[in-house]
Amino acid sequence: MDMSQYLDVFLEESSENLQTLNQNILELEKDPENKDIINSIFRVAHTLKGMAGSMGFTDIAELTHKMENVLDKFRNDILKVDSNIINVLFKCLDTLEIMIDNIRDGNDEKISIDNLIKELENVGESKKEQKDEKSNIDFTLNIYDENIIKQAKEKNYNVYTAEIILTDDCLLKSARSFLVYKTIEDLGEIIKTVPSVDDLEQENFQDRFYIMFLTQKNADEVKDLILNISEIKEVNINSIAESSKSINNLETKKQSDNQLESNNIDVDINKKQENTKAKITKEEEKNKKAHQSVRVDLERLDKFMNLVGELVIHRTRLEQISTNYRLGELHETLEQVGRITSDLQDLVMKVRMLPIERVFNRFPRMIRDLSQELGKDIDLIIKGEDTELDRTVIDEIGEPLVHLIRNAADHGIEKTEERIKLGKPAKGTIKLIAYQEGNKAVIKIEDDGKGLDLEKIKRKAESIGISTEGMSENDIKNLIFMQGFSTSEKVTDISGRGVGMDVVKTKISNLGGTVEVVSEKGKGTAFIIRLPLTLSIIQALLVKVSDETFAISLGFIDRVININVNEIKLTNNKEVILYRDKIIPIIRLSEKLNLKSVESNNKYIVIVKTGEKTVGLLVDELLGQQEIVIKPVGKLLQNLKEYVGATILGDGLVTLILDVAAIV
Amino acid sequence: MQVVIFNIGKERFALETRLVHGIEKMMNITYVPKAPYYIRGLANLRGNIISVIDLKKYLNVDSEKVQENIIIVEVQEEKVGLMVDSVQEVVDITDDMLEKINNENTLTRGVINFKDYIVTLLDGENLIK
Repeated sequence: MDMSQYLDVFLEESSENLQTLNQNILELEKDPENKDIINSIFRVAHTLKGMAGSMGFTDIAELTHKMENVLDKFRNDILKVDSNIINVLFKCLDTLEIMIDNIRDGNDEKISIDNLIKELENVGESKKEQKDEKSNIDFTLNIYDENIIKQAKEKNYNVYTAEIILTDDCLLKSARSFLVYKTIEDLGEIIKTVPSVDDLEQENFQDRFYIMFLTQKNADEVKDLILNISEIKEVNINSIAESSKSINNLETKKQSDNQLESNNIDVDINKKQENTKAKITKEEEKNKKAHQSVRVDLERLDKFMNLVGELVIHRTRLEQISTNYRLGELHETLEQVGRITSDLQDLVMKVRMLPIERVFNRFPRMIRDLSQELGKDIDLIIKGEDTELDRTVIDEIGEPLVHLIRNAADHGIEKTEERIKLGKPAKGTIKLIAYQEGNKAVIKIEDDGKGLDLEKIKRKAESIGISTEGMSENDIKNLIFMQGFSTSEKVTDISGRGVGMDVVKTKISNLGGTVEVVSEKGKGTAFIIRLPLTLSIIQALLVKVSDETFAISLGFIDRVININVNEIKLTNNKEVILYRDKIIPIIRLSEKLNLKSVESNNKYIVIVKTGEKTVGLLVDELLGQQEIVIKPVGKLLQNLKEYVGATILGDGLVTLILDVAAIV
Repeated sequence: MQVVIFNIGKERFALETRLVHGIEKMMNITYVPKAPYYIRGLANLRGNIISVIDLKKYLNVDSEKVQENIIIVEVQEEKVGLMVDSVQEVVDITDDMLEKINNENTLTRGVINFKDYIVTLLDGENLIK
């Protein structure tokens, strides 16, 4: 069977599953006793294993299988969650990610999983002995068993769970367990054992096992009888109150040997957990409903948008025709068509939007790793992860954010001892906040660390030949976005190579966004990123230079003025104009683009602002303002940095969109 | 192997049809300042923007004729237009008609011998890189 058609689905879903696993394991680390999280991890890992298996990726299937084994030990309380195991699990996830990436890239490179598997097996083995004595055993009962318990209670039977601990030097574990089993069976009825009777017979347990049973005798009598058997070190008997039972119809348990009923009843000894458990289940169900969606290939969406764009172009043409021939009836219909196409356009834009959650998802894990690496205690607070952005922005914004967050953790947050000395809370906080503001999306990265050191930046600036005289504090702080500007004396693995901030700035500018920094010494630093909600549709000014038409994004334009060429002055061999007492340097677009210049005195200056720079672009004519759809120019012209892309205008002609940031 | 045969100046060239997405009449082409010399500009192909290569300049062939056709080729999911004087025909050729030439010019894959005339077979993948 040809699997290639399922490959995309597999890759997409695996990435999602891995992300979920990452998140869940993080949660598990915080709340190691939560069986729901373990179950959920188990489910996802199982899905991943199944999919990988059916696609023939045996390595992935094998690794997930071993992970499942460890998880299963959590589930059955044979193993306790600790950071050691969590680290190994994370390592597995990272490896799985690389493996899936390799499949995606068609890279055949084989990744050895033997070591990881060994590690997994090791954590499984070595930890068995350290099992916590008070851990609660999950006796999973089906309705049939539950009924027996109920009836037994009515008939005044007691329901007990017994923990039987064998002596360390016990040689015949199965024999001892059999004797215990037999003894209890004589006293009443055994409902369940953990591990199963089979496992008991095969000695598949360490030094202890559990039996749930009904009896009319009281706990002490039973205990005495069991203790009569040799090589028994300890017996703990707990009675089960009916109130601690709750019905959980969470999932159908595959291992259930009773096939009569698919609904399981969990008798959980720890009552407290029940409530939270129920709550979480409810929330989960809610979430599932809210996220009902269809998976659509991005290419199809692009095509869809293209078609809508085409429709808009032809509508404009039709409108032209209808005005030319003054056809009233046609005009009315066209108005309707116009409304519908606008709606359609809005809709297709919205369809392309994704919540920024996609990007934010990976940061909790990153912060966890960073705090381990750096030996700092850091809390990450994420807000507004449902803010929606265009898919293209989502794809590109991850890298700069990673950089900023790493910086915040490495340079921003102080070492714990230092924080305590300064009277700050020992735990550092990094906040990641997203929200919508007008037609912009704002992302803030805030830390409560030491803040930017103004003096250090000044010194650095002067050492690379920038005079900071007359610059406002804010301007000086924003110098950190300049190329080769890193004030960190120590280059760490995490940041400080001086390639960071300018890359961040460039990347964000490329997306049509801005980034600024606000910082107070000793209090912390905040980076504020503003991004356009959608990349593909922008308001633009159409201008004519020589015979060619170009579009300039309104986002850059400060104002447009009409001038006489004679007003252009020369200073220092550079052309400038004086506008409102300000000297503005001029760039003749015709020269910049190697086009022949038009002999005319009456020209226009488009004053554009990018970052700190204000420049006037000299153009021949203004053709008006219009909403345009940005399209890529293709690989052959990719290297031309003068353009951000091209668009198709109402007359069907292609028009280039100037990249103001690159030109000035 | 099936090829499209087209004319530039006095020469004939061919491209494998598996790479050819379509053949268009001359379109409006937007000039792109600062682009490489062989790129004529951008055209609107049913809502998609494609780059158009002036094959005459790219292959350094002299021609005074009016360019009538644009052959749309698709390589690695990218469509590119190739401006030619005119498209002549689509024919099937057999391997024995193809004479490989060993020169440094990686743009060509060989010469197809039609007995009364010869056609240069271009390497579409290398053409668009």
